[in-house]
Amino acid sequence: MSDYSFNPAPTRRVAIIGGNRIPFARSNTVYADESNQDLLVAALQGLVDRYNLHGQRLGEFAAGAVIKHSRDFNLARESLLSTTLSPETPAYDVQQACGTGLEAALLVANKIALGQIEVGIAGGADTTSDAPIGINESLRHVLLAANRGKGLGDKLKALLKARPAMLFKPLLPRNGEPRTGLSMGEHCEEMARRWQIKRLAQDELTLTSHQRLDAAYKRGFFDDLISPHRGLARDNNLRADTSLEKLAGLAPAYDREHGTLTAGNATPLTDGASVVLLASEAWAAAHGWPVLAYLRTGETAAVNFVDGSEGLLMAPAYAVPRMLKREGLSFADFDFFEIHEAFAAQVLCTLKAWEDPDYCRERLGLEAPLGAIDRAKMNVNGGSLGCGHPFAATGGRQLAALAKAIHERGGGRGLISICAAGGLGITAIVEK
Amino acid sequence: MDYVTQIIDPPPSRTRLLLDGVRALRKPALDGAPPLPTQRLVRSAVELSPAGIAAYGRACGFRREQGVPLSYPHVLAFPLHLMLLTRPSFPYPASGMVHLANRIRQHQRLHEGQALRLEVYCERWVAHPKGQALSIATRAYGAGALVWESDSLYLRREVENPVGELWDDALPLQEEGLLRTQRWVLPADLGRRFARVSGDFNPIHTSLIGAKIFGFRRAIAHGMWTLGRALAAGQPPGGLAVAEAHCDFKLPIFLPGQVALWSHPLSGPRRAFEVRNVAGDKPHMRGLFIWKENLA
Repeated sequence: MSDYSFNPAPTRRVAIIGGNRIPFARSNTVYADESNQDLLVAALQGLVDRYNLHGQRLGEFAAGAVIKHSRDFNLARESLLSTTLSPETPAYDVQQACGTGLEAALLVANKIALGQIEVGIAGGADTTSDAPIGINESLRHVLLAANRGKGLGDKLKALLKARPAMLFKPLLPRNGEPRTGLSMGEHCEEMARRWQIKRLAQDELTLTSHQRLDAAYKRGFFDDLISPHRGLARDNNLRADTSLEKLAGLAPAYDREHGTLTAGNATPLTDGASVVLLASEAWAAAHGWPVLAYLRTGETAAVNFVDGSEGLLMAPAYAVPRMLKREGLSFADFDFFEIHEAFAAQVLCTLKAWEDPDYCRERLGLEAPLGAIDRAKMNVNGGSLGCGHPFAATGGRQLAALAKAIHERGGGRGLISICAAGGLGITAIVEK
Repeated sequence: MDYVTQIIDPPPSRTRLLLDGVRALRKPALDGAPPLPTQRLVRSAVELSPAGIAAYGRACGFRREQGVPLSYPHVLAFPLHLMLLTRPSFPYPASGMVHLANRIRQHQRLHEGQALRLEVYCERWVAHPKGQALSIATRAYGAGALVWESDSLYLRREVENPVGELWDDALPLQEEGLLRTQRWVLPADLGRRFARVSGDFNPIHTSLIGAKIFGFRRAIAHGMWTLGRALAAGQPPGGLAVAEAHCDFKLPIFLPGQVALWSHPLSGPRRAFEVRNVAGDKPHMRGLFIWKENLA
């Protein structure tokens, strides 16, 4: 026997009790004056109210934001302290680009599965309205040098290197990949070219996303998933009256001449937050909450997009078959597919890749292609194209909505797939 | 060909190079074939200094884990190129020599702090369709062995009946399968920044007025910066042992501006690339980057 002491109890099923989010708002609209923390607090407090968690000490709260101020180093903990949860609930920040929310849920779920905690909350928030603007990089170096200087003389000498122009050239957050200088849209445009995704197919997927989201609102699907915030009751990106004609009228956004991606079939910058309540079955029973579904497992993948050998947003194409193989499942075993729609083109590239025998063999190492996904099972209550995509909040939104859809159906199995910056892909299986 | 070896120590100052450059603005008309300069300029020990590499790396986008940039020794030797081109005995004005192509070969891993013996000489005249070209050889020795070399082709335009072998080394066009993999935003002061790390203060790169005097509408990026930036995009982490970089310079890149890097995915350690305008239809540089798989 080694003296190795990490000795978890047999793993347990992780129950999804419910979720809460605030309506998502397009950047610089309703939530323009709200910080990440404001948004996260609103979503978290809504969940606490809904599940009557006031004063309770939970196992943990894991959450994050993708675009963060340096002062938000403890965003999850600071947000928690602004709610009526017990301040004795620990919290920590997670950040995995657009996979943040789902990764946070996997982390909390794993602790529940291993018996380390009984109940926890995972979530995420993002605002691009209240974006962190840094001071000019040269000015920052001057100030740091002055700070290091010993004595007034040294400090002044360092400060003399500051130039007025530095004040007017701040460091802005970039919506681009650090290693390629290309925006995510430009990367996706490249993928669309490689997979020959037509503009019409992208617009059709977009239209479906809006229509299904609208239908879900109309039948009250979101009544116990969303808390109104700042007078907003529905995602304000939703265009129930959009049409293929309207979408077709939009100009390409990233490649004006040959591009197929537009402001319509790409998600806009969005502000919002979401959280999900996860627990052991024992905790759920003890508190009298029905289990919507179980978070079975997750898989994360990454691709080499830097040298162009794979598309930036193609990692889920790799994560899903690995996860299915591990779990002994195929697409036929699923009733729902919750695919994050960063861009309609990215969804269609991934679907096409799973149907392509050469790609499945050469890239994914599969003898036979994964096959087609029944569109009637995909994003049945709308997707990111309809509701918008506050980066870290998307995972929580999908997880809660999928769990509820499975519960409504009386059981079933669903797949979540999220592509993320840095060539990352985060996926999970939910079932009951 | 017998060369006269001249040891250069200390290295030429910036002022000295500038003055020589001004003096070499005009040259008497040439009668007959140009004579090949016979000096071999030598610096016996030039350090691959960590500070110099870091400054060069910042200018071109190299990361620290990439080790000594493949193109870095070239900037150490560049002042010697200028000395050759600005000599009274050199038959053409230095300012009119256009850098057309460069071939770099590295035979051994280079290390920070290592001292290199650098030799620079005019190797041969080359007959180019556009005029008289000249190949300048740069050889770097470490502990007696040739560790790194570079051949730079410079062109004097509009010389009739150029002498030497015909230029037939242009890189083949490999547009098939090239993908846009990066976009670079080039600031207005890029030429001045690269001049400080490369010693190439040619006014066509460093100032608008200077560029206009020499017939460009704006300052243009250094060709060796463009090569450095492209190598930085492709050089694997961990440093290179045996490697080659070939490039042909095409249309100038005006500053400030944006360009895109196009390269061959999945081509492993042999990678064709092009630097193109943003629209992607005009080449600024065409290149080939080859390295031997090396696990240090």
